[in-house]
Amino acid sequence: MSNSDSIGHLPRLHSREDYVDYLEGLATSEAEGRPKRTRIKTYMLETARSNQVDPELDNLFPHSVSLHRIDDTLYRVQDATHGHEVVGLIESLDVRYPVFYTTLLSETSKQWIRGAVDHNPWLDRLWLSSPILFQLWQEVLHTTPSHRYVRLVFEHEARYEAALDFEANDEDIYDEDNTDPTSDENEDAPIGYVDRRRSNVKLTERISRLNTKLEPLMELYDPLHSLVQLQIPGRDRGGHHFYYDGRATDWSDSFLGHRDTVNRVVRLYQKVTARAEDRLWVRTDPVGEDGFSLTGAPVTILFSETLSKATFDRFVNLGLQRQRSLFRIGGYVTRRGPTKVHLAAIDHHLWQPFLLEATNEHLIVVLPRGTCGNTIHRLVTNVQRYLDPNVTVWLGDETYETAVGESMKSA
Amino acid sequence: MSIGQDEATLLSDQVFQLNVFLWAVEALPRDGPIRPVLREKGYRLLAIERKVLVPVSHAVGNALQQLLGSPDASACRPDLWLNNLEHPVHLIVELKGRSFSPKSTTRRQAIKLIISTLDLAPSLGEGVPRRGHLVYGTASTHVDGMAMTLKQLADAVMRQSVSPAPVAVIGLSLEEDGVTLSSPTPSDLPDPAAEAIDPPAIVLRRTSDNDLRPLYLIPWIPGIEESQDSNLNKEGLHELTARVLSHTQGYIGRATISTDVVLDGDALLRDATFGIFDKWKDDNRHQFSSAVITIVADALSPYQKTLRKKKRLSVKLDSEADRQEVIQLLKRVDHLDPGSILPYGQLQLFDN
Repeated sequence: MSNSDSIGHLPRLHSREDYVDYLEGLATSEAEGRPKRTRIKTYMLETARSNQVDPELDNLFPHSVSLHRIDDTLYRVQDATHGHEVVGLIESLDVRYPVFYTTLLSETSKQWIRGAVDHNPWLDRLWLSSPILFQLWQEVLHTTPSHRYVRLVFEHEARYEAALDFEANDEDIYDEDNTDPTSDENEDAPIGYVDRRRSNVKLTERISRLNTKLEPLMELYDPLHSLVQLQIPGRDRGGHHFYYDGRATDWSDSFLGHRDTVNRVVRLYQKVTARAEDRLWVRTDPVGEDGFSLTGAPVTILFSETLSKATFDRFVNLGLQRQRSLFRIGGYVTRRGPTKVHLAAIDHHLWQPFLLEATNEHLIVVLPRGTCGNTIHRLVTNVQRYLDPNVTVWLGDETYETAVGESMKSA
Repeated sequence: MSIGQDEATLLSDQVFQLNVFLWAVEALPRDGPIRPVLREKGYRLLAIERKVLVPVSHAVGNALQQLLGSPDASACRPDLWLNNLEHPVHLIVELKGRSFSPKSTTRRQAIKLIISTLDLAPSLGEGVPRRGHLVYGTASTHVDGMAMTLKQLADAVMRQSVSPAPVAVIGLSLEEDGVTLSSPTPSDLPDPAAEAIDPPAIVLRRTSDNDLRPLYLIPWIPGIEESQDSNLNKEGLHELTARVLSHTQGYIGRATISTDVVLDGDALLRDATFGIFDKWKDDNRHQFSSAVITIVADALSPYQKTLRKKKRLSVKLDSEADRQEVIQLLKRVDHLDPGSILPYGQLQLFDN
């Protein structure tokens, strides 16, 4: 058996069993005290659909990438830009949600996935919104001994918060590709920059302690509603770190345990997305002779506090109109008052249109039939990270939390 | 309607009224910006513009002859048909900008609805009687006149020995807190409907000084241009244009390079209206479909690789740069510019 190189390419193997053995070896080498060269990183993906097109998995990736079928659901992924080396494996237990396993170095794997996904209208990441991660946290509470350690990371940055003393051109700071201008490490931050609300809280604690302390903490400090990372403990030691953008890293001692955990998360995501789409898609159907029904329901996102007019304006100008905005939403804006707009919106990633009402108190989203449900998960994630960490989200007349909880029961 | 313009005009607008009723039966949070007051009492949308059959009998034929001058029993298409999860009586809802005289031409539709709503079973294909209740919706300033007209017409039907359906009026009014639904005589309504709007119930909650209009599920209705406020009609077309353009961007953005993207006027309008475009009359469909392509072709005129064939525009995309160029051209279209909205394309066609 050939070994992985320093970049983290996988050897060219020909069966699932060989790869499982190889990756199990990687996972256990650290436990046995041997140095581990590269950790397993997992990227959970979603293939987009439309009413007209249902693309094949092989055609979803850049031209340099080739998928070599190993069995019904497992593919070896080779990339010409990597000298045709094996950059990872794709497992497609559900055709809509392929999972990419790789041992590439962290930055290399992130770069590879960005190249595959960021400008690809047929491929997106799974967006593990806070309610989904909190549901997984509930599962951890019920399935893991309370003495085990767990890690939760919360993040909120009021990117659109307006302050009177901002520089006139400070909006340019906030394009998605720009690095954090106020990071302690960024000594080249623009002069004139003014701080705004930002929180990054990491809690590594015993489950028993967090179980009793987390809710009171959330009551006291609302950024703790924006959960962006959760460590699901492994069966024996370590755990699996799940990130809001569908990334997971294996810090456990078993690749098979990692794969099983990833599959459980994907199943939950699949259930909640299907439930959302079934409930939300607005469509007409013929009724009787000449009549028609109009079915579906909107998503309502209620802010915990009314946004100031200046903040609302910044959100509309920077978040909803720029192609490179963090929300990746654009479209045709109609002003309906000082703090209300209607948007014939277009998702700048999947290029799927939808309708949006934004006010300083709420967002209402109407999805036409065929729109990917992950548009909602992504929107909720971004709203909590950048606008209001403590929103209440409704899918029609059911809370998002309820939808996630009910989906977990059948996942 | 510009902000601050007479909101009374809005209350009389049939597009606004239709959307208020649609939101009132929508699945929504109770404490959100829109309160689905009719849904909370069990009402659901069964159909829009579904045919209601006028019963054929000697008595009805005679009544129609006497009251309308013809025994014509052609079907009616009321705006909305609502059923109820827990109450057997269906609501047939017709929306009007204002009340009308018992002698006006509108009486023809009203009398037919009064006669045919009593038993909706034939229109549903059901074997046992299905009671219906006729409700006219209008601005609250017109509810008294509307109620009087409906009572007179129902009495006239009864005098012809035909049993009329129960009738009632629901008014839209503007209160300090928002747009409400109410009835001058709630006891005329079926119990769930009366409970829903008595006392008057806010459907659209007012926020700051903002325009009261919700997101329109149906932004524009063909064929009502003459009765609709011209500014509101134009703004409906602005919105429809914006939706068509966002769907156009969608087709370009999702294209697999390299390819010829064929933009079809019918498909764009179908997408932009949740499929309601297919219910439009043939003339409107043909005109608007061509107009859409005119607007898109004009927007893309700086881009050399397009070819128009009637209601279709082929856009050749050879590279990612081509896609970006086309997207940028589409983004530049100002859907609020009178020169960019749908009638412009329509008029240009006629000029040619």
